[in-house]
Amino acid sequence: MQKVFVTGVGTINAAGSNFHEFWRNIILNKNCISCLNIANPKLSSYWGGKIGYISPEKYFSRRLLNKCSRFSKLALLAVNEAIKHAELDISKLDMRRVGIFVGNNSGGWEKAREGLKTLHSEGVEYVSPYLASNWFPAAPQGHISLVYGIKGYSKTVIADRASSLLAISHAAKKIFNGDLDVAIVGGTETPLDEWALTFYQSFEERLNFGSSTKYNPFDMTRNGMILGEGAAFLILESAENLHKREALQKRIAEVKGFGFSSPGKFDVNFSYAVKQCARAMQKACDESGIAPSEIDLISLDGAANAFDDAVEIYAIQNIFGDNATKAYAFCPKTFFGNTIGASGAFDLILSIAAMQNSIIPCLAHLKNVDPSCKLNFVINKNRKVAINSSMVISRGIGHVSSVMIITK
Amino acid sequence: MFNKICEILHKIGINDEINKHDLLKDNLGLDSTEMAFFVIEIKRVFGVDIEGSNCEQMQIIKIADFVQDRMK
Repeated sequence: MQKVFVTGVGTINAAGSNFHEFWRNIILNKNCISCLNIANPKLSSYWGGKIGYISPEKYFSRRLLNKCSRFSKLALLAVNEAIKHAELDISKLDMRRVGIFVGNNSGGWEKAREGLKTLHSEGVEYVSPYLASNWFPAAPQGHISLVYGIKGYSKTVIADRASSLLAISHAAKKIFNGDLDVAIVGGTETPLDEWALTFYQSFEERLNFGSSTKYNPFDMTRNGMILGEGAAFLILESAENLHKREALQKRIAEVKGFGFSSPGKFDVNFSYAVKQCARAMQKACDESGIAPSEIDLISLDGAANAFDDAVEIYAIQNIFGDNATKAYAFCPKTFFGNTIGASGAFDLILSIAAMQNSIIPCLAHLKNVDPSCKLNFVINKNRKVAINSSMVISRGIGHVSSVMIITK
Repeated sequence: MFNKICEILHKIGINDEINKHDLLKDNLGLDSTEMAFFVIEIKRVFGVDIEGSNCEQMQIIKIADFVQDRMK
């Protein structure tokens, strides 16, 4: 059985075009949510974590980029940064033992929308053939595989906000079992496209479609999620591979265990939803051999509606007992929006950064904590404290839950 | 016409110098989706139908001649 280490990270989102910039803005508690300029009047007041200018052509050929939707381009940029951060020489790896695992939920809808427009305005013979390989959720996996020549077992996972943690767990298990040496893992999402937003609007009660610029879960004034776009990727490596390339000092975290649960039905009552969420947490603790009392930091999903926030909190209280108010709790995605299929990867990276820098970013918008949400929230200001372990929670529609435990 | 064909190839992302005698697949390395894109653009720009499988084996100058001929 191989130990699984994180050796590199790469990110792009509204808070930064690379991980360094992203972490700096998170530590500054900068709210990177802005008003979206969308012509559709139904969506005109929508706020989101929108990325500004991107320049993937600095690293990738125009020929490749012509074939990519925006979510593939973001993924390529984040992967490029993660590989550099890990100082991984791809050319020296046995590519049959390298995999790519991606979480995504919406696909590249802006290209699908363009294709549909062409279909109905010009005719089927003018629809771009690139549509065949650029709109669907597994497209980034394909584009990354082509760029780096990846030949190992790979996978794309679609499970709403639980997607990327689930994808990362698949990769970790493959390394753990000795099937892969290295895996490029993470998530990418571009939900701020007009068509994608229309799709998400069908779950309006979960989203903040008002004029508020604040995404504030666990607060009495919460008003649903604010979405953000972005990609977050990590490099996972086996201990053996790190020994082989004499890079043990590149370890920045160890993946210890993972738990997943699905209730098997859509409409569930509160107590059943709590049980399912708690089941994933317990499984992650069992697999990692780490008791809840040993966990220093909890990264929250933060759905920002009364029902889901309470489910998450009660599940933590069920598993942690008295320790629920001892571990620190944070939810930094409130600064840049919920990136759905990529949110788990962002949360994992932010937990690693918190462990590495001994700083927990605060929940800046949390002013009036819902009395039913009793946790040790980091509020008002960032907390400087040593952290050795973190539990990352991602939940999704249908009450699926992904939970991962990592250590320093 | 040759220059107009080259514009389509530039749109695909072919940045290298394009020779009149180049073959789309063997010399410029167009893959199947790029070939389909090329055919669609020929139709869109010139209103000329051309088979992708035929294009693969034709030199660019021959494609230019073919398009020119069909436009008459």
